[in-house]
This record gives sequence, structure tokens and C-alpha cells, in this order.
Amino acid sequence: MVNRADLISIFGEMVNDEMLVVTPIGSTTPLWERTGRGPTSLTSVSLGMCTPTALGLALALPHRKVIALDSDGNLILNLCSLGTVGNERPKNLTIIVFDNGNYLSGGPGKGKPGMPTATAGNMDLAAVGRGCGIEKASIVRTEAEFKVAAEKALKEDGPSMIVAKIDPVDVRQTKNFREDRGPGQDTRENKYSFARHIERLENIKILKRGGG
Amino acid sequence: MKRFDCFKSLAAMLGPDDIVVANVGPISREWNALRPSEANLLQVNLGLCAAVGLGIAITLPHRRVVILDGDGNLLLNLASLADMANQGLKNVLHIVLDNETYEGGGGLPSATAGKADLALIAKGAGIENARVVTVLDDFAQAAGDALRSSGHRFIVAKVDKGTVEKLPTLTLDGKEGKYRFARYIERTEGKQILRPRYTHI
Amino acid sequence: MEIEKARIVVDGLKEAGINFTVGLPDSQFHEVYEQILQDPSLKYVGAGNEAEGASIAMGAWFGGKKPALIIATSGLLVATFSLARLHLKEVPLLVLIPYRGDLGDPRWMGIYKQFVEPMLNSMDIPYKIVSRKDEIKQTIADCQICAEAWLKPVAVLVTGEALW
Repeated sequence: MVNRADLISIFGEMVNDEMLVVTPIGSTTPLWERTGRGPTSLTSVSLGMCTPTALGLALALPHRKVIALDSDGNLILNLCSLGTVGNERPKNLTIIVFDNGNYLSGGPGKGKPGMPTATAGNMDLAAVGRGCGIEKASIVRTEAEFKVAAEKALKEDGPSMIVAKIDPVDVRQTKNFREDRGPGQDTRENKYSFARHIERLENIKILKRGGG
Repeated sequence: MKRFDCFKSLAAMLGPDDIVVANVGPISREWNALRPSEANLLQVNLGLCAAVGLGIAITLPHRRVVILDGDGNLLLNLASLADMANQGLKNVLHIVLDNETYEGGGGLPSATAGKADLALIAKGAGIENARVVTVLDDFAQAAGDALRSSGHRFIVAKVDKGTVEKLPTLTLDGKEGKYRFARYIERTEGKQILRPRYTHI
Repeated sequence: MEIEKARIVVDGLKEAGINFTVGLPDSQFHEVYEQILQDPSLKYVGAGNEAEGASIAMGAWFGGKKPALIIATSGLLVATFSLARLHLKEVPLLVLIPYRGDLGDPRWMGIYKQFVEPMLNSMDIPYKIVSRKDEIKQTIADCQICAEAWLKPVAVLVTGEALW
């Protein structure tokens, strides 16, 4: 098994300023913020909303690579979004699912996993993805496999999906738990910084009115 | 005298670290067009401009704070003059761009179009260094004097009604302004203002 | 629903500047969906549930689009959670709903009226109910302006009275 923190830092090295990343609430957002790309990503997107939000972005900006860093519990909540992705077939969308097989955020904490998700049983999210029409969907179980799959996904046309099987619990020392969250933006600050980032990249206006 | 010309002259005199607190409306829009900077706290709501500037000036006594106020704005909260005077501030330049009108509210005259004299009121509140300027050279001189010395200066600049044409829209709203300014102070002062995110809210 | 009335709704969306639509169908609005599907300037994305639809619309807004979510009255309940999150993030979104349960509908649909408006109120989502054909366009335009100015979801409920 691999841990989410390592995969995220590997992926952080692969992403460039031209790409847009969407991350859900839970452990993924603070880990992604460590790469320094928090303010230029859409972070802490709520339960079930990560992949569909990335889909909306990908459809609105078809020339720009969009990546959803989703997770199993999140994606299962709005599983139909895979069908929508499979039908819209945005070439510029990659969905990475950190699949830890449990509802960690809803769990007891203290290094223990939460209740199992369906992927801890018989559900295979990559097979679901393929069944929805996302042909480039695979499962990875090691850092090396993840690296190869992510490089391929960023290079080739999508839609693509990587399901990374990760440790049930994230490696995190209690000591720096708070620091992890330290520089993090709240959801409104992040709205502004992400929208300004896209305005700069695309030379368009998103935020229009400046009231009091 | 045009407000925009006063701002041009002031912008040329300010350093990058000078903090500016500006009233909501055309004052913020004009100022942002001339001196776009994270050191600006823009779109401060009616009546609160001087008081917010006061709070910043007390908390950061080593930073210069310039307050760009309006006549209607200041009249709404005249007590802030007395409160400022009692703090014995060393780092404040308070400028009222006095067009004698509630311009944002449809153009009715404010009390300064009648008998109210804001510089006299400021003196009465205890701000000794208070004056009125009506021409640009005097404005530049008064602002320059203030910026060269420490203290608490109060300048009432009598300006024309109306704003300049083709002013770019200010797309920054009050909330984004808050985050931008707070992050700027965090960076330049090395302190934490926005709390660590505890939840995703 | 008369095709002419469907045209009014679609024209209203276009005149309000909408250029991205997400939704799930409602029988009462069938003709509207059909016309939207044929109009590339309204890029329609069919979602699997209304909460997903609201999320797709949020993504599209960040991409510079003016999105509208077009859903059934019952779908509003499904979308609640996502709409609450859009609200928190202060993202503008026009929500267009063929309103079941008001004048002009069968009696059993009255149950919708019992929860829809109280729910919109408790979620602090402003809404306008349109019951006259002539007011459809203007209301859509007004609500879109408000959504952008207030940075929140704003709903337009079009009743059977206006549609039939």
C-alpha cells in the first residue's frame, strides 16, 4: 500500500501552472495545499461535488487540463457523475481517486479508519468508470504505477481515471496536524484566489462587481 | 480641484509600504486605478473609514496609515474624529475628499455645502493640524508636509462633484478586499491574522 | 406545454446571458429541454442527479460561464446540499424550476408547495414565482442579475398557470 501524502507530493511535481486542480474536503485538501498550489486550485469542494465541479470546469475551458483529486467516499456519493463524464467525454479531464476504502473523515480519528466504503468490499471504481464510458480507467497500487499512470493521463487525451489504492489511514503526526491546516484558505478566500488565477490564465473576467 | 488629480499627486508621494484605507464608492475606484496595491484596504463602508483607519494605526504604530474619506462618510460618524485625537497618533494622514454632496445617494448636498466646516470640527475634536485646501498646489504641499513628518494630520480637500470618465470597474468586493489586505499584513508584519482553517467552512 | 411558451423560456435564458445549462428533465418542461438541447449556445449537460448538476454549474462558473440549473420541483430537494455549498462559497447560480403544486396543477401536487417555498426561505435562496406568461422573460433576467449581484443561487419558479 502507498500513502496519500506521498502520491500527492509526486503529483504536485507533475502539475504545472497551466493546469487546474479541484480537491475535496477531507485529508486531500491540506495535503495538496502543502505543494503550494492551494490558492490556484479549487479546494475543499464539498461531499460528492469534486468530480462534477471539475467536469463543469473542463467543459467551460476545453483547451485546459483539469484534474479532480477525488476520493472513494466522495465519488460514491455522486457516482452518477462518472456517467455524465462518460457521456460528455471531455478530452481535458482526469479524475484521480484516492481510494482508502473507508470514510476516514467520518471516523473516530486517532489514526483509526472509519466505516468501510463500498470499495472495501466488491466495488471496483475503475471498472465502474469503464462501464460509464471512461475507457482509460485503471487501478494503481504502487508509487511507480501511479507515476506512470499520472504521466500518461496528463499527456494523453482523456477523459481518464486513476484509482489509487492507498493506506486506510493517512500518515500524519498529531504534532503538525494543525500546521498542516495552518496556511489553508477558507472556502471564500479560495473562491477569490482561484477565480483570479483563471482570470489571469484565460484573460477573462469572472468576478465582476465590487460592492462594499 | 478634481479628486482624481489630488489622488494622482498623492499616489506619486506614497511609498509601497504606506497603508491606505479608502471609502466605498468612487474614492476606492479612482484610488485603485491610480495606485493598485495590496496595501490598500478598499470599499470600507459608510461611516467606518476613519474608525477602521484608527484601529490599524493603533495596532501598527510603525506603519503610516492614509485615510481617504468622504464628507458624507465622515459626517455619519463625526465622533471618530474625537476618538482619533485622543489617541495621540503619530502615523496618520486623514484626507477628506469633500465634494459637499451625497454623490452616491443621488447628488443631494451634504452639510459641508452649508455651514459645516470639517477642519474646524477636527480642531475642536483635538486634531491640531487640520486645514482646508481648495487648489491642487496647496493639496500637494499639505500632503507632502504631512508625509515628511510624523503626527496626525487632517486635510479637507474641496473637490468638484463627479468622477472621471472611463474609470475601470473595481471588481474587488469588500470580502475579497478583506482577505487580500489581511494576507498582505500577515506577510509584511509576520503575524497571523486569519485563523488556521479548522474545518472546510 | 405550448411550444411558443417553451420558446419564451429559452429566449429568456439567452437574453439573460445564460450560456451553460445543467439539468434533469421534468415532464412539464419537456419542450424547454428539447429546445435547449438543439441550441449549442446554451450547452446542455444532463446530470445524473440535481446535486451533481449544481456542482457542474459551479465548475462552469469558475470557467467563466453564466450557468443555469434547470430542474424539477422535486429535484430541488436533491440539490439542497450542493446549493447550500454554493451559497457558502458565494457562487451565483440561476435555478429554473417548473413549479408543481401551485394554481393550475392537480390537487395531489399540493404537497410540493408545502415544502418548496419554506425550504428556499430557510436556505436563504431568494426566489420569484411567475404565474403569467408575459412575466417569464423579465423575471429570468431580473433573477440572473440578482444572482450575480448577490453572489448566491436565485430561483425562478414557473407555475402551471404560466405554462399551460
